[in-house]
Amino acid sequence: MKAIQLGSLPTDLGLSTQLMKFSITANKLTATLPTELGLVPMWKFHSGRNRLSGPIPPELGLWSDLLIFSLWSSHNITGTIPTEIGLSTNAIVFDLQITQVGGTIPTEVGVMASMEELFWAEMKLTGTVPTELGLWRNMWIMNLGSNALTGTIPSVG
Amino acid sequence: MTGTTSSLVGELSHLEAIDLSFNKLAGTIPEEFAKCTNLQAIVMEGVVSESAEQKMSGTIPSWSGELKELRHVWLDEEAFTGTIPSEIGLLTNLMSFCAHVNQLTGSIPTEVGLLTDLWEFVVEKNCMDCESDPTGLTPN
Repeated sequence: MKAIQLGSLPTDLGLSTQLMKFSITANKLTATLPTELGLVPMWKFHSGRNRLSGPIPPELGLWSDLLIFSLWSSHNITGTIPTEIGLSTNAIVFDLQITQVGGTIPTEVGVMASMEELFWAEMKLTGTVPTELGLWRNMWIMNLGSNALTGTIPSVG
Repeated sequence: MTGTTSSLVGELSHLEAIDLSFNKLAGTIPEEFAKCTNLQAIVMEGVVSESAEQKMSGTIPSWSGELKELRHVWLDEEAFTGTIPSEIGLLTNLMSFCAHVNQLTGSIPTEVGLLTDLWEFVVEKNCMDCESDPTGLTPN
């Protein structure tokens, strides 16, 4: 049997300074997310249903034009939701469903006021749902099921 | 339109764009395309419901790196196999590479990072890195 190599997405992708749409959904890429990817003007990032592993680099918070972020069903993505991701204030879809991402939901995400669809079910989230999420007036799907969240549901501000 | 692409296309040395999408064309990308050095766009999008026999197949040729003017390569919904050739890095004008729903394998060539005009890279629903999967070449 061929040896299993854990690859990575090319760090050089950060040099593709115009890269806005990157979609590798539904392959079997065994990779980690390079921090250098934060250097591109990402708009739509679809990388779910692969074999990606490791944390979400905080540098991805540099994606100020980000519209869609999806890593759904990436069973080996770990760590926490970087507070920096709150800088992506235009994001409308944020999908981390069925990952190992845990910890508390950073209050910084509250400023992502354009958010419409939040898929954060079947993760390892703990703590309370920040009241700031009540500021997301465009939200129409919010799935936080199957986590270890406590407390109350924030009221709409 | 049915059948295969004619090798005579190589005589069209001034060709800047070719769009053969939404037909029942089969066969491989003819090697004669290598002579179409003015090509800026290759568009061969297949029809979703077609059988594999009515789709383009074979590999993405390494000689495609010679087509320096290429800006758009759209090969969605066909039956292409093999890896994305590292020669993709030679396509310094490439803006979009789309090959969703094919059977491409291997990893993303590091040379993709050389493409400073690339804004769209789409390889959804292929079998990239399937070789490293102990369960074999089963599409995800």
